[in-house]
Amino acid sequence: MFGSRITGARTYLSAVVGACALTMASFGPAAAETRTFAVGWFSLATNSTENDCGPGGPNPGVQIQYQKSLADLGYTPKQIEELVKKAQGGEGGEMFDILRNRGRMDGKPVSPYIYPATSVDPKWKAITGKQAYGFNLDGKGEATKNGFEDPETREKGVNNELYRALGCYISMRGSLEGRPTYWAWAWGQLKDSQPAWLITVDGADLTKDGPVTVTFDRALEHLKSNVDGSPRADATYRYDSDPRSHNSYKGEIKNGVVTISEHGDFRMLQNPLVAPEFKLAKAHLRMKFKPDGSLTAFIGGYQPWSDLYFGFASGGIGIEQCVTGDIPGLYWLMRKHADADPDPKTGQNASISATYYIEAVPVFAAHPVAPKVAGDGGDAGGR
Amino acid sequence: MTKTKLVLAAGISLVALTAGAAFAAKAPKAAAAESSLTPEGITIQPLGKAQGFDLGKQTAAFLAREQVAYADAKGMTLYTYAKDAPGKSNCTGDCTKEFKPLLAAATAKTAGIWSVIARDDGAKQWALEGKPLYTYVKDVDPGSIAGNSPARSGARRIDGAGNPVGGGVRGAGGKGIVDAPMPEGWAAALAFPVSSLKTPDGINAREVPDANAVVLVNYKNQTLYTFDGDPNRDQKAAGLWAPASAPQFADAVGDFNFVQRTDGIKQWTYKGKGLYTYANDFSADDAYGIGVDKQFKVASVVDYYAPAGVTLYNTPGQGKIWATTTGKTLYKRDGYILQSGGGHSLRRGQPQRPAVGRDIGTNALCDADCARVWHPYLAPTDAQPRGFWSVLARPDGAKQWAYQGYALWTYDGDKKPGDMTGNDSLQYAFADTPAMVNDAQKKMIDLGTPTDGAPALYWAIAIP
Repeated sequence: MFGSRITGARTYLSAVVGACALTMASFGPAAAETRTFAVGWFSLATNSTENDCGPGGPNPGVQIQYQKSLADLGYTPKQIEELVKKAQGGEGGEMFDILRNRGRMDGKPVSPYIYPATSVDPKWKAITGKQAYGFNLDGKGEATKNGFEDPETREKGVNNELYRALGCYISMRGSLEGRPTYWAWAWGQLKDSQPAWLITVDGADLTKDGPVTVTFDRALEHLKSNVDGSPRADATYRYDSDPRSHNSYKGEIKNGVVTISEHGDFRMLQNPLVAPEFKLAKAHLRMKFKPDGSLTAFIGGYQPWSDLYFGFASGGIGIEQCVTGDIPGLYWLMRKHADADPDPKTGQNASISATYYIEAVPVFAAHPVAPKVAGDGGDAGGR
Repeated sequence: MTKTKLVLAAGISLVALTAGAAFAAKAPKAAAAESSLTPEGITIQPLGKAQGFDLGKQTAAFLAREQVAYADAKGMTLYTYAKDAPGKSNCTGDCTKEFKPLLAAATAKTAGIWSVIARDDGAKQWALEGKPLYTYVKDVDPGSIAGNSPARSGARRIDGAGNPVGGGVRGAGGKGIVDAPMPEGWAAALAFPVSSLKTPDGINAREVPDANAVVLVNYKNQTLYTFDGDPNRDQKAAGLWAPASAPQFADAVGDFNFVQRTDGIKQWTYKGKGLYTYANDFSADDAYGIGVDKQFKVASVVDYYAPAGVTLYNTPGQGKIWATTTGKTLYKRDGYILQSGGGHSLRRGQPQRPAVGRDIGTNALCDADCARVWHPYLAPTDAQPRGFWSVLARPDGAKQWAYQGYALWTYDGDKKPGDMTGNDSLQYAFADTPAMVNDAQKKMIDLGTPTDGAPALYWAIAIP
């Protein structure tokens, strides 16, 4: 037996109770529609274009970044050449030991991942282009200094400083269709290592304009995939009742686009591999139903950038080499471009405006019931 | 950022419900068979790598526990001696300089496979299946065998007391380590594998954590259950319970025999009871048949202890979790391991690492906000270590239960049985510079994941 509510993609639920049918009829049909979706792709909304990093293009790859770090530490070009040559010959231990301790505190080497401000700011480039997906989070519109223009809505004054900060790293470059390397890797990990994220849209008739309620929850199950790795449509999930990952907003559907009118906090538990939690303040949302029953969405807000830094830094030099590129460099960029929640003493902003892109497939979802097996409760082994 | 960022993902308060109501009538079921439960003061420890000294950046969805040894109250492996006669110790004089008899209290009593023998000097000594038990002076860490400490390998770390542990201290960090041989005539006393158990082909014994026991499994590693009754009268179980069929030419082995059922199936029996599989056990380690029917019990050969006041509770999302009988989910504090491709959020996505649990001890490195909502799960003042459960002394003199090395805690955010709103709450530790790190934060950095990346501690549900 399922819980009190069963939702399904493209499913109309007519509330008709037998004994009350005639009474109900006198008030007209109480039809309502609920669609539930499982998130099948999640990434920073990127919009890389030619020349958006200015002269010289994007920042160099990690090999060049490492050589710059060695130079910043005082190694001569000849010494660097020798270290690189050894590394290319499979004897990179010496170079990597230097790099994983390239922070300096009182002249002594320390971890640049745990103590990023001890590293030299490499002053990597940020986006200089004019377009980025996102929302007018600060409400200033075109008055926003350096605001972006959203390439889809053409709204000006868009705040997306996280994209500006990270967008010139090679691993972060891409578009909605051409997925950035980092996010392709990250999503590949997330989808198999954390419960699926569910989006539920309730309204009277989701094919027409009108008010809606949008909720985000975690499922108890992980994302179910097809044999090619794509998210499976019409699979069944159970909602996780954990309130930490339950978000509900009033909104509306207009011309096929769902937006929310309540811009509160957004919080979902996440695999710490990317960030321990996905948290946004002043959350904004824009979603579109697609003809095949799936949806695409942009969700934006102000995000604590230290959460993101932890995701990058927890992998140390392994992740740095293989996926992200210079991790302390990411720290310096996010620190510089953070644009909300200033520290009262230092003025340093703790949050950064960001917008993420979501693709989701239609699914069924139900609220779980307690297990009926194994005593439905306690036992010390069950014997 | 100007100071260490310590973020506690605290739970959101729930609508208050009367905690424990559903548990009130759920006192632990009948205790496991006394025959195999460890007595007070005797513990069990996974040997070698399963202690978790050496995990580093290794991707590990599950750290296999190949051997589980009986151990003393401090976790030191117990041994038996081939030259001992049943019920009689021949390790005296110089022998006891290396192998210390495991002395029993004057009040210790024989129970099942556990007995108390008298030494020549009048002292009492524990024995397992009649074999006197000893510790080895060259063992210095739980999980050691033959003096070979699992702490020799792995990354050098700092424990909760500030002491360096791991490869840099007791070995070569995993390089060039040669294990010392087991002294002749000596063997570790193992709870698993069960060396004394003779099984027919197609039946084995396997640790099944959800059963809190070592249980019999079939050739597919499916958990086996015994039926309290005549197998020919098990019709009511049809559809859920399938008889474990024996080959037509099978012979009786040890405690295993068979019964020729009236439906033509030749069915294995264990100690005279028919063996079955349960239809909803789909994978190895499943034990969903526990508690479904009072006549069907999991076929355990070694039962693991659980203290009074603690129970295994079923949840829709996470399966069986340890909880108090008053309805509070139990948690452990653990160091985060980045697992590319692994499953931090999976039920067993991060393996038990008793060594890390011991390093953290009773100091969860909570800040004031954290300490307000997380509470030690206290043990009675006379509680004794037993099985996987140990008793830790808190700074205020109180006792705290620990399971498989990890001190146990409850969380105020949990309002009703089955809530686990503190699970996966993570505190990371990094700072602009080392000068901004206080002592507690420094410990957190040392205790965190033994990688070169930014570390974290997190709260995780305690599972068997």
